[in-house]
Amino acid sequence: MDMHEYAGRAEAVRNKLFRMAVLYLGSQSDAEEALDETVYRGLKSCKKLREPAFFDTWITRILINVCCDERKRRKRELCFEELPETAAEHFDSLPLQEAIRRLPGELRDLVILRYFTGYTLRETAEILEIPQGTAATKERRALRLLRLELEEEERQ
Amino acid sequence: MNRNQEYLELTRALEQLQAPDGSVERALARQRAERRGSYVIRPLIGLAAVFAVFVFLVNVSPTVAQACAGIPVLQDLAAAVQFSPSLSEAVDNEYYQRVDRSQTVDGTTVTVDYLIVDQKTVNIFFRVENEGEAAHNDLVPEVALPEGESKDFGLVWHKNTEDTEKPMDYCGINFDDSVPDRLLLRFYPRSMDEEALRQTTAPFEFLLEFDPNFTAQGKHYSQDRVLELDGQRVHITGIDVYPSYLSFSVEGAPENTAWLSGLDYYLLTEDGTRCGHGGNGICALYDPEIPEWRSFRTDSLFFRDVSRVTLCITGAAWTHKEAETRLDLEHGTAENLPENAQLIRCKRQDGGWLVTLLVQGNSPQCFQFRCYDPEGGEHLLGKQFWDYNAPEDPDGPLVPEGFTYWSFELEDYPWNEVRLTPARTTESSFDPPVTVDFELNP
Repeated sequence: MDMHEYAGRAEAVRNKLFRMAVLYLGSQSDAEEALDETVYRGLKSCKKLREPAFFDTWITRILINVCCDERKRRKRELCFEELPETAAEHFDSLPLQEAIRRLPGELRDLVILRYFTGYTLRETAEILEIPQGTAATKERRALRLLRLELEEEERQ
Repeated sequence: MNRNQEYLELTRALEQLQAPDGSVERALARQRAERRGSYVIRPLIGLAAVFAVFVFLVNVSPTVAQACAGIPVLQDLAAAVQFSPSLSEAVDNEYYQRVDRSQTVDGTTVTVDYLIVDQKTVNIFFRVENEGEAAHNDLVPEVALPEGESKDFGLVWHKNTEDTEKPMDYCGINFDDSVPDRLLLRFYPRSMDEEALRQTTAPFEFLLEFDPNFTAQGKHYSQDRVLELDGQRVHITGIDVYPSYLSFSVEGAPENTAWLSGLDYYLLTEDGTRCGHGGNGICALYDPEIPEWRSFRTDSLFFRDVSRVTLCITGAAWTHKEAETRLDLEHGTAENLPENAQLIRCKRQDGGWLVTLLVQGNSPQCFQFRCYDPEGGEHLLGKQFWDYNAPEDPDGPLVPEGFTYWSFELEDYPWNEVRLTPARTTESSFDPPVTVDFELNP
């Protein structure tokens, strides 16, 4: 993909990426930095993206990596501490946004992609590079922890 | 409120969020700044006798990188020297000087990690790390000799920007004479101009002192071989082998009708090892007094037990002694411009000019360093820059692959015209290569 096409495609998805970053990192200023870093990393490697149809999943994966890097860097901060799946009561006591942020890594990725970004289960599995069946299992576990019981039509 | 209601409210709140404008523009600007900093050569200071030609550094994958990967302290250094087989071999042979000194100013930390030093070259490996919105996020390295000392040198800076696990940056200082005992390494913000730099102290300064065991390293082998290439006679007078590179010295015969302006070559050892163009960003040295290329570099054989090598010349480039390009700086026009170059802009600045050309090919520097004003006075090209964006449109699209904008300064140059010598006017290739054997006996 050339840089002109990349610039146009990145511009088109920046709001979606920004919202994802807010969920991952909790603050809009952190999300803004993560978005900038994502767009920059994408720009550096866009020439390697030969199939434009994969742009969305590709750049989403970059954003997830950027957010994970930032979380690792700030892992000592309480709001970034992951809770184990056994801490069901603890999840109950947290507002939904924070509960999502403190889900175990893959469950968090899955909830954000499926329920806040609009990806299908197949697309989510592609982005996370896991089998679709595994994605479905993790989705059920995540929803159980968050006590979310959404019908398909309620999903955003 | 139950979780499902909370979910609906959260999704509605998120939908209201708008990403701030400018992410793409900021990414483009950042890439431009990084690229501009990736390939910089500063001309030699003082009364320079020798100029260096810059070549784009090419990544290679020497086995030493893997060998060092298991030694934590050397991992960064092994990664940083991957662009140079010579420096990789030096590291493999534990030939380096650990420095490990840091300075922090306003959230930016500069750490000088390692040196690889020999008789002619100081190779510096350093890191610049920023915390948050640091004030010094775009630093340029510069070196100075301690007060009272004077030597000619050239600086090549290679900024590692491709890896997200950022390896160390590289700065190579090439001396015409021998490396001094110590050197002042400074880093200053790119925005600081040279006048401001002269008047203030650079934010980061390191006095580097070199181990005399390292600065003594290098071997000279006298040679006396004459070759005929394209009807011109070339005399090979010596071979020098340093840890940083190997070089062979050449002289064109006075009766030649063209100056030697480039060679394609490789070196073969007795065991079949092939050494390509080397020298850590510098592949040849040019003597403006003649003006002709006077030495060519290959990857080093310093750490190998080699007594005989074969030089294989596969091509040569020449500049006809009468060739000349004339630029009308005032009107931005050119006569006899090299075919691969297009004059883009002549901009008046600080008592001189900044000239920009769009050049096709791997050697963007399409003129020799010496130039002449309309009154016949000699001048040298000043600072040079390589860029991928048009100077009049820094936020615009990058040039296609294979093209580069090459800019050079004419400092203290009030004239409106300049005469330049093309870097080369003819090229030829030799198949099979022209070969010549050399004994490496002290």
